[in-house]
Amino acid sequence: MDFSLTPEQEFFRKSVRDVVQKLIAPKAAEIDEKDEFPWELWKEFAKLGYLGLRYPPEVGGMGADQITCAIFYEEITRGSVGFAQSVIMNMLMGTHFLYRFGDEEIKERCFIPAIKGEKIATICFTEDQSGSDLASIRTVAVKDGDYWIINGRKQWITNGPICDFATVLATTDPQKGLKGLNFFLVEKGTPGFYPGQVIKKMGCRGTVTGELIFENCRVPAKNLLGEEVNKGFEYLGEILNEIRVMTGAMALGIAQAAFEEGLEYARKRVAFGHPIGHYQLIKAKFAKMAMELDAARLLVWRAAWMLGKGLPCAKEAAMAKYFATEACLNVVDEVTRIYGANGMAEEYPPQRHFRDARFLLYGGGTHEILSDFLGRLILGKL
Amino acid sequence: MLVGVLAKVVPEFDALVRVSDDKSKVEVEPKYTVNFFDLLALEEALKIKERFGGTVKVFSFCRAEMVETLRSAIAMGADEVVAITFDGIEIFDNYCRAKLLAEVIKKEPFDLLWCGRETFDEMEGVTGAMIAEILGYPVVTLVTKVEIFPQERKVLVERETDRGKEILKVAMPVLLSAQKGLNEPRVPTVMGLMKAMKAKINTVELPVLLQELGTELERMIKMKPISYVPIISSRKRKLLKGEPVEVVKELINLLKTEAKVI
Repeated sequence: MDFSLTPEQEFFRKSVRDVVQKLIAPKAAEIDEKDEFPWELWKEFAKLGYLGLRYPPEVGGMGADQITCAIFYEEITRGSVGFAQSVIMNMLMGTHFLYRFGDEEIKERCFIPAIKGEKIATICFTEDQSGSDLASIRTVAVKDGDYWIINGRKQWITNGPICDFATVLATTDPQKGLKGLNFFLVEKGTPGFYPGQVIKKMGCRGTVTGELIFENCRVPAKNLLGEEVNKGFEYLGEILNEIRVMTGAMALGIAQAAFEEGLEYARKRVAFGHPIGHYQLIKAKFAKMAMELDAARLLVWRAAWMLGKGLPCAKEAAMAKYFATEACLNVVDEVTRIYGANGMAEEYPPQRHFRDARFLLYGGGTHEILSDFLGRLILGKL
Repeated sequence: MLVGVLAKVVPEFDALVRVSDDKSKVEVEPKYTVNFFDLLALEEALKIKERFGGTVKVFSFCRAEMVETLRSAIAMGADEVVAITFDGIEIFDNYCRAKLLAEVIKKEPFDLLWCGRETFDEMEGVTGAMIAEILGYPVVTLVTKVEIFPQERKVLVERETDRGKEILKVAMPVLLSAQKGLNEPRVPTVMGLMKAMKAKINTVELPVLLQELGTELERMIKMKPISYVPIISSRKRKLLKGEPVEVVKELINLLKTEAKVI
């Protein structure tokens, strides 16, 4: 069993790290402080072509394997979570269903510009009364001749207030629960579609997150992203594992950034005549963090490997996301403790990692949902 | 145009470096990157290729484990990388390295050779000039601007000196060393990375090259290190308080009189 990355993947990892260190990391604190979408950085980064990483060359992508993608998600998140969220939304969730089901016109108008960074994409699941409980969404789509009319409100939409188009989860029949779900493409400028309130967040600042409102919003019938009506939940299942692996990789990025800062601090900060890394209790913290990070990375890469091979990996992807997130939360907590009171100061990065890490508890599935899911898988039908 | 670039693989700036306990060698954490000044050289070579057409080839002399680092040159746009590789020994003799590199480079009729002004690890800045001398090329160091005149087979270069700028016109082929300010190395696109990931790096093993030359390494090496002395630094902290103008005056005074760095 070979646990190592290929030389090509190692090279990719180092190269992306260099790009992130050069372009993104130096701006991370500013992005966090200003909490504004970094348009100039977006344009500069988009030119490098990473937004098309996971799509095949035939549609202008790079055809990268799943482990290479996981490496990318980790490294860009390590630079800036706020920026990474917007990038990854364009790379994955915000464009996947257009790639899968959009016709050539939709691909030309929306998908290709999005993977070039010329348009901002998003996907809308959550509503004020339904996050994990997708069966309870109240955004409704009604067929009217050659159109669908959408009504509803979506919350917590990454890129929402600045998006050029959105993939919107709506139900054709609330009574049908999960069996009534569909994805629709709604473009900016469509009458009845507009952004609502922007949410001020404790972390992941720089990504603009907010409400999207649909009021008698009419979209052409071909904007149904799917081969059949009411198959949305099934289609979601196609990328749910990938979303969980991606979130796990993001957790690794935040944790690794915090870990390395903690390491440097422990080597330099002197107390009682020695660097604090000299003391056993600090050493023990690093030992535990390193083990958790290592284990988390192996879980994420295993799930990514299985995904790439087309192997069923619902359990492994859920485990990877769960474990990597919990490991990350432990690491960011410990690093702020290692920094002492400085762990609270805005001039030091650990507090930013601590705040940024919280989103991991919700993105890709809450841990309560994942625990229940894993428990059911493991125990089977009782 | 056929442009050659000398690129050295050096430790990353944050790689841990320590002198061995017996002081016979320097132990470096195996984290590598391409030398910054050589990236300036490569960037300029790529710009010349974009303007005039041609090929950019990168040459390096490194341990086998470092070869993969050179993929970043392909990611930036180099057409080929040729690395003389060795294992198990450290070759510190600049002339020896220059001679071996020159043997490989001289097989093709380069119009221009580029190198960085110095490397971050050894900071000697002589290998490029030695190669030029071996090949019979003129050399211009610390180049901050260059203009190519392919029809005339000449280059116009600007270089930095203590007295200001010097402007020279030199016939090709010539070796130029890149100084900071020459350009800003491009960030490779992901397409460049993907190409680099699949590219073949041409390697020439040192024993094979020596056999071709009909010589042995021991006969070529004229310089060997005797020992290394680590620098021990202690950290002093001084907190300067007061009005910004006064603090700055005091800081300048301390940098002059205590730290003696200005």
